[in-house]
Amino acid sequence: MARVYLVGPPGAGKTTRLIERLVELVGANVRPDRILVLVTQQAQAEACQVALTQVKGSFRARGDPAITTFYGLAQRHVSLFFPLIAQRAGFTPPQREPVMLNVETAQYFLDRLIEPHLAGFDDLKLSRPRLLGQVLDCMNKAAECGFGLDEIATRLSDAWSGESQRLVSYQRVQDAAASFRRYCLDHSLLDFSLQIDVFSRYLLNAPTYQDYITAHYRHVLADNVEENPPIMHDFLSQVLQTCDSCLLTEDNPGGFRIFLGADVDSARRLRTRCDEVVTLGECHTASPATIALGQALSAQFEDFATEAGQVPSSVSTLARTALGEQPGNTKYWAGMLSGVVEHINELVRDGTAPQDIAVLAPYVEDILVFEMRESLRRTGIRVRTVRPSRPLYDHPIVRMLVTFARLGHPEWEQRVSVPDLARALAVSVENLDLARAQLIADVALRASSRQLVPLDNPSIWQRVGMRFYSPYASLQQGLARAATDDPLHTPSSSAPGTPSSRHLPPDDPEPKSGVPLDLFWQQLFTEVLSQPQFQLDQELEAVLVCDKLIKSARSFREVFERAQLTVADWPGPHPGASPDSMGAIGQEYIKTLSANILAAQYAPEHEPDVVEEDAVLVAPAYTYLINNFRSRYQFWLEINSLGWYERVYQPLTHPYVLSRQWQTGHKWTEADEHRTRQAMMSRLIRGLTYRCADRIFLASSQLSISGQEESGPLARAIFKVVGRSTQD
Amino acid sequence: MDASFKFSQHSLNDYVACPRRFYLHYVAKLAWPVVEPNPIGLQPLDYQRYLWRGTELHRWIERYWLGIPTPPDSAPDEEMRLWWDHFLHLEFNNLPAQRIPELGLVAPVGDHLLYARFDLLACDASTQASRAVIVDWKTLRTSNHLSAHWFARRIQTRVYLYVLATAGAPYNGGQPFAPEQCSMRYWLANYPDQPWVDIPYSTADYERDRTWLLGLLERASSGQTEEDYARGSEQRQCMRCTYQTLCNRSGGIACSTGPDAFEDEYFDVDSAAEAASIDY
Ligand code: SF4
Repeated sequence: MARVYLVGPPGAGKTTRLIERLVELVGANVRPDRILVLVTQQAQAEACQVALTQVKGSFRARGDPAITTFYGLAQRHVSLFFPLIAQRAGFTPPQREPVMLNVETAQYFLDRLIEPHLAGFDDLKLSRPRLLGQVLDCMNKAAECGFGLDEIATRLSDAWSGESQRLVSYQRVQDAAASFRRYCLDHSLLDFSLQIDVFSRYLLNAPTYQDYITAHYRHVLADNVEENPPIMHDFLSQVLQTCDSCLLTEDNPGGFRIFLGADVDSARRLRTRCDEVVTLGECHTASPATIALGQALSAQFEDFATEAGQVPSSVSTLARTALGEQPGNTKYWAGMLSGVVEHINELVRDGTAPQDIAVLAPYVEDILVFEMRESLRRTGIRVRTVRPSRPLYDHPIVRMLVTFARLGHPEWEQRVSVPDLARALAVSVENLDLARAQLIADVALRASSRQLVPLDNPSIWQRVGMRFYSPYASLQQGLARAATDDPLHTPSSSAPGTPSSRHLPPDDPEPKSGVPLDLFWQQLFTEVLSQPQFQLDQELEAVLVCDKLIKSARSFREVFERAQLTVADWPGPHPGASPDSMGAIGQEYIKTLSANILAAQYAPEHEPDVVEEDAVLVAPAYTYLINNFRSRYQFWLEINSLGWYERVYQPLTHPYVLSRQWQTGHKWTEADEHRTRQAMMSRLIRGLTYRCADRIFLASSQLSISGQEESGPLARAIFKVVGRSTQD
Repeated sequence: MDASFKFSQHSLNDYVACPRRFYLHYVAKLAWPVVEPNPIGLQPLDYQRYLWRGTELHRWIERYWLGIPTPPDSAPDEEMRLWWDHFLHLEFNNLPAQRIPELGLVAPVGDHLLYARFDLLACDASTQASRAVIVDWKTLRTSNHLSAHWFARRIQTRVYLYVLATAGAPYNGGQPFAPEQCSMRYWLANYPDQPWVDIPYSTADYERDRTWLLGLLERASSGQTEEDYARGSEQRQCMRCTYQTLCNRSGGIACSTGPDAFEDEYFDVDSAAEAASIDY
């Protein structure tokens, strides 16, 4: 096999062929470190790994080829080759090791730097996390497309035709981006955009690196190239010049990650680098009826200027058979939902596995998930959701840990309210209800609102129950212990093996002051929250949230440590404490967390928040496509909603203007907006219908959840296709 | 257990120490965010920094083999400077010429798979007397057990040499390396006076390891429920275990380990790196 570009609809067998090729290479004793497999998401990597493990016979003895996302590869290589490029890329001083920022820490530093200028964005009425997310989005898009940060304002301004105040905002975005970039360069910090920028500008054309990829990547496999940004295509173009074989695949329709920088046109240029373009026409995973429905519906959005999607009656008739009985067209949102739940119950009763059912909506709000969970629980059906990352602070377990952190650090002078403490106690102490927790909290905070004090007066315990005295006392003592500067109790301190003093220097000649917040929480978990009388040890999902928060706090703290930030390096306005003090870093973390800034608003990849096999999937339609899910039955909710058609409001960034395809200097017009929305809608419909094996249920209500009457283009298109065929 | 599960020296160490720990960690994948226990008596923060230095050292050494210079004054602290200085004074002439850093291989053991990630594979497939040497960088802090005998008994040694002899064919012109062609070399960063420990391998060793690994992997993968993974019997294992508060016990009944179990009682800084060895 030479260089092959494979294109076709979802379900045509492209990924299967890619995996077969991987198995073939491994079976031919090709050195594993000479194979590169690029995937778009972790699930694909796992599919490749599973396929390799299932190979039988002598092929089973094999290597472990690199199976990675492009972003993972870029980050690893920037880190590995950093000494080669640090000086040219402008890092000062260049000899420091790079410190990678995740979305959370990038948002934190940007937030500190942008704080004095926040008033300048007031007119946009954006929440702070959304403002930060959009500045980072502009930086990410610049890096992925290969233009400088100094082009952001010009590109956006040239395309803008509204009121002139927006031009000032664009300039402010660019200034914020530039100051964040300068800060990163001065402290060897690399956010996502700088990793990609350094990779594309300095690493990709460094002779040593070119020799490295020439020697290493002799066989290249890349799945879903259309879901990747132009910089990934640049990398592939370079590798294709020297590799022995390659197999690239493209899903058509695809490009659903456009908001994360995916560029279908750029991907398609790779076809010219290949010896052969193979088109697979047939989709094996969707029924002819759902495919026909997709074609008929998407046609309504493809040729809007002329005959507006004339649907041949034969297609309409076939398309109509793809539609399940409509789960009620009621006046209210709640009625629509009960209709959907009823249908799901029926399907499951008739033998459908819950995981074969997906409920899709333009947005998935908490209330939708809650209602679905509660209603389906009655019949024993579980629900799982896959949504973009949620703010950590939304979770009751996180709030509980934050409340205890405040009470464990009276020097922060952060008051704790009675409802906060009551909720924290109710969440953590076994069998303690909110009413009793409120009584305890009230008495405790009257004694001190900054720390938990012993409550030895028996009257309170007689009221709430003596059995709660002991967990309260453990918590009170645990908080006091966890925050001390004393050496933390180490469970294995008496374990065998002691450090040799022969050659070793002391570990930390100048220990930093205070206990790091992550260790404070770990200590609290170890000594208190995981003990009997506390309920975390019984709720594994709660433990997972604890773990996630502790990891987040730890990576936040480690950035300060590894970048060796000192008082003089603290970004933005001085917080009044030294950043090399653990207490101050913890305090900053809590402040940022409770401002909802520590939430992955922009994440090139994100993980499902709960994974439950054998459960009905509830997901936003785009998330469903991006994760390449497939189902036997799909429920499309709120088909009247404009949300199916509209782009998310992002006044400070733009997926089309900040792309490589955009011609700078052009205005973004109503016609452009209409054209791109139509095209996205068409792709969305085809993308969904290609992933549905049996039937689609369309659900709607006259009034949306917010009480509005809507009649979006999706509902109109459906009426046109299905309505006409009904009349036929 | 997931059919695609790949065993590694770490999961096997856990299984040998306590089947329940193996279950909680690798089957149930249970997060349990306690203060990380550590076997060398450091404070938790110092232990984290020590682990980080080990990871950095591995990256610097990988750079060395790729010809990427690490600036001399970039060591974050004295210990790292010392390790790096010891490394730069090493003599590598007696290793085979081809050097492949950070190499992962997977070998079958019956119906199961065994994974190993070598810090460095030095091999020489082009010569008549081809040989392959796995090199492992160790930042062990112990003054005991530095004998070749102790290293030879480590689970890591047994797993690595077995995997190389079974799955090394792509590095030997398509032919598997005979066990006699394989060996393992540990570099001890903290012991410049005795920097190397060499472990040879033989067909008899290979056969013995295959039988032992097969039995171990069969047992480790045969459990259907949590109850099938019994608690270990050694008190000291619980004292250094993350799940101690979950199991709600501070020790166990002292008894000897089985004759085919290998002790691996000293801390290995590679753990962090190899545990996350599948790089997505
Ligand atoms: S605490 Fe002891 S019994 Fe429990 S998993 Fe750990 S080693 Fe096994």
